[in-house]
Amino acid sequence: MNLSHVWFKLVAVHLAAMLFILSCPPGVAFAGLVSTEEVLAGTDARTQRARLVHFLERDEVRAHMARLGIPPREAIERVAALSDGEVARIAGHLDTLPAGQDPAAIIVGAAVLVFLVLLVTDLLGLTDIFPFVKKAK
Amino acid sequence: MIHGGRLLLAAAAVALVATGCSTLARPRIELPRLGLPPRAEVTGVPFFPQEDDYCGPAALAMVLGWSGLSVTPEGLVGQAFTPGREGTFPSDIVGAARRHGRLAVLVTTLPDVLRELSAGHPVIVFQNLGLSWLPRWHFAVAVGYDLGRGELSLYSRRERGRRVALGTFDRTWARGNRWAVVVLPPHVLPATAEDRTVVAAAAGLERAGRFADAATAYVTIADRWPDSYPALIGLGNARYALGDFDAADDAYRRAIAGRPHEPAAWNNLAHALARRGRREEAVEAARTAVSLAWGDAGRYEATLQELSRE
Repeated sequence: MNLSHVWFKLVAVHLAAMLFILSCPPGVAFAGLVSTEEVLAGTDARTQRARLVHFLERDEVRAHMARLGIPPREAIERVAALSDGEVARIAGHLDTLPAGQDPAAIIVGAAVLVFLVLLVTDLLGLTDIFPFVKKAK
Repeated sequence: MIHGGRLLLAAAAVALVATGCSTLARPRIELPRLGLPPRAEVTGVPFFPQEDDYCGPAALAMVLGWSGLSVTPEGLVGQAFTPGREGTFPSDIVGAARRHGRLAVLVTTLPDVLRELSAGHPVIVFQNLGLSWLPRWHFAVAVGYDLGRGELSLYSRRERGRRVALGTFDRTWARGNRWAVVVLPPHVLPATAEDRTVVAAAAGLERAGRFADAATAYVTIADRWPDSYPALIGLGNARYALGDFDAADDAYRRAIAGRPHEPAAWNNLAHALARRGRREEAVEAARTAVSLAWGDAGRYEATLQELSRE
């Protein structure tokens, strides 16, 4: 199966889900428990459309996690452990959201920065740090 | 020595630009009189050095260890580390804690961090140790404080009990948007949160499929706040998910006793009654839910239809 087939399949699944939910006549809802989350948020009377938005957001985060190297099965579990609100906050932002890393890396980063600044000032003849830099006269 | 002078000037310029002029003022922190003990030290937190980019899994392993689970940072990498970002998202710390059956409750102010520490709860803190434009995000575990010295005690990187001035900490923490979390066993309540916040944390246990832990948490919350309607609904829902419909029925009735006009409680009671085989009472409860619904009654009507049909 090549990439375009995968995309086709993804789009098809989304369209099927949307058609299924939107084809329900308004006013017809699924019987079931009102969840604790809905009670907290006071959204027990929310529409099917709102549910669809949450469903698609979860799907988006799941797919994004998979693109970031998380195994698909694990991505499902991670998203499942979050509330609708928590999913909404990270949806679409996984490339830019802060992620905790090794702080020592900053020392390397800062060293590179200082090196570059001094290199430029050396080239301009303002400083004389590096013997290999041919100074401007 | 002209060159030396110029170098110093250049270095000063770099430092100024790097830190942003406004942040050069000496950090000052005003802690209101909170009745906090002058110092606190959380005991029983295992120390795991934070190797490479695994500060998130290590921080989580430390607090989970304190909460009574034996886990290692390596064992948490799969649940909390994202290879494509070479780091750990705060949301995955929360999710992984829940998947271990632990309440994850956010703490958002420095006084609340100190209150949790004085209550004996270690706090995972998310700091930006770098600068706003050169960020270096890092998870550490706060394990104590000393107000007299104005210091916070952290398990951070490879240091056990690193002492940081409260003002310095507050800046690095503010740069991380003041994200912090306590990770507690389900029978232990945070020292600072409101009932709704803890109910939300327990609802997270439901999301993670940890229904027995969620039920324990809801019982604990309802003991502390007997009028908490969301906690009683949560208790009913967790017991329902566990298949204990008698106990779910009991929780929904307690919720109804406190708030008789909430359609959600009647709706859920109807489902519990139906599972217990009490068909007529179930239909009656579903009818009550429909009659109480404001706005869109669609889902309550759906319950009534389903239960009437069977």
